[in-house]
Amino acid sequence: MLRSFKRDLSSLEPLFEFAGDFARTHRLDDAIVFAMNLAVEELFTNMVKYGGGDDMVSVGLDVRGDDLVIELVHAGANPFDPGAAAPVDVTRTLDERRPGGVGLHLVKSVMDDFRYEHKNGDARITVTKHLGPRPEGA
Amino acid sequence: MFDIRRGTNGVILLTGRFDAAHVERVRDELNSVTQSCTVDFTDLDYISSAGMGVLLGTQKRLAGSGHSLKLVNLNRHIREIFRIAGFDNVFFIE
Repeated sequence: MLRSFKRDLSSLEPLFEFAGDFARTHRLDDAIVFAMNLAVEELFTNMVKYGGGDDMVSVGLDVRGDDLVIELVHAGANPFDPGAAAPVDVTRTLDERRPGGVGLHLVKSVMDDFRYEHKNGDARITVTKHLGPRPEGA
Repeated sequence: MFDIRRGTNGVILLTGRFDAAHVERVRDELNSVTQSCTVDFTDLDYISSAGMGVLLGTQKRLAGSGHSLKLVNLNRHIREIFRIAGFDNVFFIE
C-alpha cells in the first residue's frame, strides 16, 4: 500500500488509519502493529520537523516474504541521515536527560533494519521488521 | 482518539493514542501539576517519543520541588519502549 500525506502533524490521524487498514489486511499481531505505528510516526514527524523540500511525504507499507517493509520518501528533502545520529545514552539520570533522539533510538530498537538514502534530491528511509511465521492466508 | 482527564484523587487518566498531535494538550494539562501525581495508563493503547518527552519534561520540573510522577498500568508494548528508552530509570513505574 502506498499513499502520500501532507507534511504536517494533522496527517497523523489519516496516517494511523492507513496503517490500521494495512494491519487488518495482513492480519498483523498487536506487537507488530505497535512497532509499525511507532516507526511510521517517528519517521514521519522527523520529516515534518527537519525535512525542508516538498509538502508531501510518500508512505509505503508492504509485506515481502516474512518481512514488514516501511518506506517513507520525501522529495527535495535536505540531506540528513537520521541513522547516523549519535546514540542516546539511556542510562542517564533525570538531571542529565535532554529532549531529542529518543524517537529514532526507539525505531532502530523495535525494527530489525534501518536504511537511509539521499539520492537525486529525495530522502528515502526504509525500515524492516521480521514477522516470523505468518498465519495461513495472511 | 485520545483523551486526558482527571480522575478521583487527582489521578491523571490517559486514553487512546498519545501521538505527536496531542503534545500541546497534554503539556497544558500537566503544567497545572505542582505536586506528586499518578498517571494511569490503563486505557492508553499507544505513545510515541513526543508523548514520552512531555512526561519527561514534567518529571524534570517536578523534581525541582521534590515531587514526581508515578506511572501505573502500562501495557506491555508501552512498558517495553519505556525500558528501551531508559525511562524506567527516571520514572517510578508500577
